[in-house]
Amino acid sequence: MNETYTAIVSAFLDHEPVDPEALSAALDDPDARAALVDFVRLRQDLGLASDALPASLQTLRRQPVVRTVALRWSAAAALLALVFLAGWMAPRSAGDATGVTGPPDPVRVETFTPGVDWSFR
Amino acid sequence: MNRTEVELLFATYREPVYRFLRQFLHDGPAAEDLTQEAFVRALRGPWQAGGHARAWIFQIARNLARDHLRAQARRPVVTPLTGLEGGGAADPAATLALDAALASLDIEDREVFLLKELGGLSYAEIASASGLTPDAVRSRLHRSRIALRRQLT
Repeated sequence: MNETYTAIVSAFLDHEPVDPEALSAALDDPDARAALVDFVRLRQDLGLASDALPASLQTLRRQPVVRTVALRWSAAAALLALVFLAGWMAPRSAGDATGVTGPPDPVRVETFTPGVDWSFR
Repeated sequence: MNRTEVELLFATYREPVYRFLRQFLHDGPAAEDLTQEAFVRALRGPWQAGGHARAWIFQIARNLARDHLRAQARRPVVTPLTGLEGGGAADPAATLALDAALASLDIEDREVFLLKELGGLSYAEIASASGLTPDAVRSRLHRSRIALRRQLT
């Protein structure tokens, strides 16, 4: 198979400029002619294999699509921020809830007098 | 680009863009989603691809498809059942054979081939959308056709 000829018929099939003399020589070659027919058949098969336009493409949507991946990353970032915020707030909120800002007041005072024998009998 | 211009672009190119994405990704729902996304991005993005509207919208779609495939590579593989969904009029066995042949192509070759065959772009437009030269597009298309022909006949 002469690939120069098949390259010419390939470009011709695509409506690209080709040299008429080169095209004439290519079309004289049986292999190049057979290749041209196969290329046309390939184009036809590909067209037949294509799906019909889906209903979702009847109109252009208004809002940009939020991509799934971007959404997942955003959700992960938001969750992380929430965890940090909760960790930062938790000790304060526990203290604020009871109104305690320092150590508790004593309810009983024990006095230890020097010189007293503290041993139990 | 304003909404009216993009609406016009959508009406004109949604079908070839969807078909390109559907075949390139082998994933109908993703193709639907990315088709919408491509046109929504056209509303916000700067005008590119040398001022060719068709090349520009396919450039956006192609970039979205590449991003999608990169993301897919990090997830478990799901084998598509293309051709068994009753979409086209082709023989399911032939469709599966065609899908397998397309899947065997190098990703850049497949992209260029589908931009031509389903997108209907010229070599210059494909070059603009893919960042290749028109000669490279011509060469890749020829190579793809030869490879597909070899596999399918």
